[in-house]
Amino acid sequence: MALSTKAIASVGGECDHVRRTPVRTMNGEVMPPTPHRETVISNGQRAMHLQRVNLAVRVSDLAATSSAFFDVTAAGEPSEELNSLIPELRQFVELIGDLQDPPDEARRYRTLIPAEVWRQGTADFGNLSALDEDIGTALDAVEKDEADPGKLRALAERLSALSKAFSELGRGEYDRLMDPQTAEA
Amino acid sequence: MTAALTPAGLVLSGALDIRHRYYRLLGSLEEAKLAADLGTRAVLDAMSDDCRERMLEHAHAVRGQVIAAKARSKTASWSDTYLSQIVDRSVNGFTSLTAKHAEVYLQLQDSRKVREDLRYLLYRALNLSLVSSRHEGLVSLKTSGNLQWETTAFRSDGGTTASVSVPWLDSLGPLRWPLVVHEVAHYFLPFGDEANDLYTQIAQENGWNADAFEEIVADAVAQRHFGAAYSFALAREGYLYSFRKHVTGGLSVEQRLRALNDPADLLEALPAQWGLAQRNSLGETPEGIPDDQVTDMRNKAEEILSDLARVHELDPHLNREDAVASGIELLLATEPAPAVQKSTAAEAVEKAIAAREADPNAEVADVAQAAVHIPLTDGEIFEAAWRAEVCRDPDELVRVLGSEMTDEVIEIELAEVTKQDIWLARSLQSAAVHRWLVETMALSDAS
Repeated sequence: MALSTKAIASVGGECDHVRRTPVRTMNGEVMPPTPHRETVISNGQRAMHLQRVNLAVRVSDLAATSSAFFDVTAAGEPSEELNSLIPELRQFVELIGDLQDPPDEARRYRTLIPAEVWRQGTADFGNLSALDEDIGTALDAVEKDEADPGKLRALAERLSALSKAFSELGRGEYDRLMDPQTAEA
Repeated sequence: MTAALTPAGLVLSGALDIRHRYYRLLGSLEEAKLAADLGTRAVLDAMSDDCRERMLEHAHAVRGQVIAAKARSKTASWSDTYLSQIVDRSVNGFTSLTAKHAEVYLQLQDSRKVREDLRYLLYRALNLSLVSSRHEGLVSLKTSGNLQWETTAFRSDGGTTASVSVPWLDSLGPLRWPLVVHEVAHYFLPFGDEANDLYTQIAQENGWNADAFEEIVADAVAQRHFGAAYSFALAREGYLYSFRKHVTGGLSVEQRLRALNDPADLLEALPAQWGLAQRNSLGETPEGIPDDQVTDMRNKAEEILSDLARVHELDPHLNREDAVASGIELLLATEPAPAVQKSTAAEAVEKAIAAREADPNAEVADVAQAAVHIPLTDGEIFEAAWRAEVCRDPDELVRVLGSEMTDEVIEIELAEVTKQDIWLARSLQSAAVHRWLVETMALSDAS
């Protein structure tokens, strides 16, 4: 059933994440009114959501760059320009290492989110604990010109799928931030 | 020089647009710092650094795909996979920008007002009067920390008021302002008549989904004033949100663009990777609204607008192709584009010579025409701006997107985006004054 857009509030006043009337958006979305108590998002909660969005986007982008690098390298088309991407791949290796670290007990609240985002994004991929090592090993092999194209291609495909999963996770998190109630529907 | 519209050109210019939005955010943070107290300035400084870092991450992600695509294709043709990856990076960049925007917005108490020139544009587009208190009460424009144009309506004893949330970042540059007209048209028709009951009644009579019909009419109202420029704005904004759930009314953005049926080159080039055909509906029939029903809705919307034009004795105006072309030329030369010359000096002189040759006593007043400028319409200025934005040479786009982002590049690009925004806003303002003068002179001549 389509949501009614005709209900018009007799009282005004809304705060950022509390809608008392249906809201019409540019894409034809109609967001229903949301009950007050359940959906007020505090600044702390908002910051947490934003951190999740940013982290998911970061992993997705770096995985995509890494995938593109290995895909082109496997096709035997290296170039100086392509090699300029290597520092980003090294950054990705480092980031994966950080994400897999257990939460810091002294600052558990802050460090829990990255680990949680990583766990959620990789949930469908089985064990990815050695991904950083796989990328590092592949990079070393490429730099020594000893890489196996088949292995590089397989790694590129894994990374591409990972990138997609994290970009969906980031968008889902964003959706939940903007519209906590209906995003769960 | 502009290039023909292609799917690759649209995808690449769309990727650059995200970077440009980051520049607007960075530029406005710098501006806000100037008037801030020391504590706020420290916060804004940190946000500015973080914003710059996010922009660089986004630019690097796009660069990675561009470099890979170049290496694989070695030609001008782009494989679907890489276009798809670049779209994905753009949507990711936008998602991240949206999060940053929400965070920055909380710190900017002093610069949250919607610009008056946006309000004037809305009034012009809907034939409302700036000095009518009834018209003033129809719309409330407020900036928002969300990067999504939203509207809701409130009823009081004085009648209905549409409250439009204008994404704060989009209020800084005029390119997406045509979207505000669509928003208000959900509740009011041109000249200020309330529209909701009419939409519901027509939808019920025809057995249509009222939300979908309302969407189609609101699109038609925006198109009436802006022509092709509205389609560009809708397509560009639509793809960035195409992943979101809960789209209601059963319409896809692509169906809405096809109903607008203009401009042909944009409809032809819409990239499949933008996912505009997607319908993420909530609680509705998954198959959505059939295309033939959309056509019927569109015909009805045109009928409503024709009736209004007849009642108010207004001739519909179409964007003049040559005027748009001249506007593009001016904007690409980073000049304001408020008006075009009635004729070129060379043309006028040639005409005068020919007239004198035919009759030595002939008047040569035509020469003066070379100095006469005709104001452009809002639609023509916006179409020129959008074409200058999306019809860029793909090789040039690849060069820009594939380059390293140095401090110098950032400084130059930031200045360029700021300049473009200022010229576009000034073009709209001076053309409006110019048109008003021309109309006033015509009225006084007639009397």
